[in-house]
Amino acid sequence: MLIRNKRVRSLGRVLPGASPLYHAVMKWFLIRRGVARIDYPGADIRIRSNSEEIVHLRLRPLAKEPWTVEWIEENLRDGDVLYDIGANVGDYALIAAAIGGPATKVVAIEPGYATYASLCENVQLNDLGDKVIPLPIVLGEAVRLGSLSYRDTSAGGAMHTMDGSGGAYDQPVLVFPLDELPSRFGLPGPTLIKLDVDGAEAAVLAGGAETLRRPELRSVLIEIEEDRADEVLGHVERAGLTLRRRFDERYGEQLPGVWYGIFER
Amino acid sequence: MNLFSRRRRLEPLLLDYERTRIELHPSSRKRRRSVAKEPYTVAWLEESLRPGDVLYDVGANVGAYSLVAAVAQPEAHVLAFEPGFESYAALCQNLVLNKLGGRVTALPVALGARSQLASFEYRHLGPGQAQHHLGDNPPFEPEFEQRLIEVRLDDLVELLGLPHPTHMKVDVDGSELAVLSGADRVLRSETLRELQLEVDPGDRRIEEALAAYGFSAVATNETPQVLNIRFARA
Repeated sequence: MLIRNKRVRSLGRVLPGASPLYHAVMKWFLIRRGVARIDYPGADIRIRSNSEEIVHLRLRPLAKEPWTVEWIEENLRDGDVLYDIGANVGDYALIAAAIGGPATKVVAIEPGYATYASLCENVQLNDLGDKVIPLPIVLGEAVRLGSLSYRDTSAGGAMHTMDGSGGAYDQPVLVFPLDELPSRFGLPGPTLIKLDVDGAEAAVLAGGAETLRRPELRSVLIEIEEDRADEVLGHVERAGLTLRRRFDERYGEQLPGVWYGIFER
Repeated sequence: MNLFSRRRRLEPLLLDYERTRIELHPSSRKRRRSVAKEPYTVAWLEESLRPGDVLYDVGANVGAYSLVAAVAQPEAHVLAFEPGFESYAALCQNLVLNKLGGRVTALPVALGARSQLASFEYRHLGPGQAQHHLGDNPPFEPEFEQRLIEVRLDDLVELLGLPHPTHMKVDVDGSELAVLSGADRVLRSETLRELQLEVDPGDRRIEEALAAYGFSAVATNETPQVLNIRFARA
C-alpha cells in the first residue's frame, strides 16, 4: 500500500494543522485495526475501516458534510422514512438510524458491491438491522439491467459512472425508478430524501416524479453537479419543492463543481 | 516503505479446478475446494454446456461453479444470483480477478415465490457462508437479519429482458420450492433443458413439482450432508 502524497495532503484539510506523517500513521493504524468510530458526537457509531478510501473519506461525515448532519438532526422525527440514495458505507444512514426514534426507517441505497457489503457490515456492527434497509440497486428512469463502471473497486470509493465501460469492472446492476419501489416491493414511501449520486441525480429524480410530489415528503437534500443543475432544479421545482438553503463551501474552500441544496415544500 | 507495504503478499488463492487456473479472492478461502465438494456438478457443467447456452446459478455463493462454467464453456453466459452481501461481494471480486465480468452477470437478489421486501437471516456472517434463511421464522438463531429484495424469477426475467436459461443450478438451502414457484414461465419454456437442485433428502415435493413441467430425475448424487438431483425433460 502506497501512501500517495495527494491523498495525505487532502486529508490535511480534514484536520488542518496536522502533519502528513501523523495522517500516514493514523491511516495505517485505522486500516490495520479494521473498525473505527466516526466523528459524530451524538451517538456511538463504528464503521469498518478496512480500506484506504474508507479511512480517507468516510470516518468524518460531520467534518465532510456538516450541513447533512444538521439537516438530519433538524428534520428527522420518529416514524420518518429517510431514503439515503447513494448511501456509500452508510455514515449518514447510521447517524439517522441511531438518533431516530424506534419507528424510524432508513432505506440505504448503494449499488457498488464492495461498498454495499461494507454498508451491510456497518448496519450489523451497530445493531441497526431493524431500522436500516440496505438495497443494492440503482435508481433511474426505467426498470432495466444497467452497468456500473468503477473508478476503483475498493469499498468506500465513489464517483463511479453508469453505463460506461473500460473500468476495472463493469458491474451489472438492477435499475428501478424511485416511484416503483413502494408498489413493486412494498417499501414505505419517503418522508425525507438525501440524494448523493455523483452526477446521476437528474436520472433519479426523473424516475421519482410522483414520489417527489407526495405531501408526506417534507424535505430533500441533493448534491448537485453544477453542469446539470438546471435539469435537477426543474425536476424538484415541478414537484412543488423550493430551494431553502444552499452550501457551496467546505473547510472555507469552494466545492469543486458541485453544491448541496436543501429543498422544502 | 515497508511499514506500509507490509501487507502480507499471499500466494494467489486458486480454486481446486485442474483444467484451468481460476484465482479466488482471499475472502473466498472457505470455498476453495468446491470442485472436490461437488465433482459431479463440475462434470455436468463441462459436459452439458454448449455455445450460446445460458446457465442460471441460483444461490451462487462466491461463484465457484459460475466461474467453472464460464471457463469450461467460454461461449455460454452465466447469471449468478446471490443475496448474501459478503458472498456477493466475494463473487464480484472473483469476477474482477479472473476478468470474467463479461461472461458472468452477478445479481444481488434473493429469488423467491413473491416480489417483495423480505427478511433474510444469516446463520453465520462471512463470505462463503451458507445455510441462510429467506422469510420469517428461521429455524435457527440468526447472527444477523437483513431486509432485502425477494423477487420472482419470472418477474426478473420479464422486467430486465434476461435471456431464458438452458440450464439451472439451484442451491438455496430450503427455498427451492419458493424459487420454483416463482419461476413458472421459465420452467414452462422449452429453452430450459436441465436443472440441478440441492434438496433435502426425503423431501419428494421438488420432484413432484418438476414432474408437472415434464422434468424427471436423471442423476442423483448423495453425500452425508447433501442430496443433489439432476433433472432433464423426459
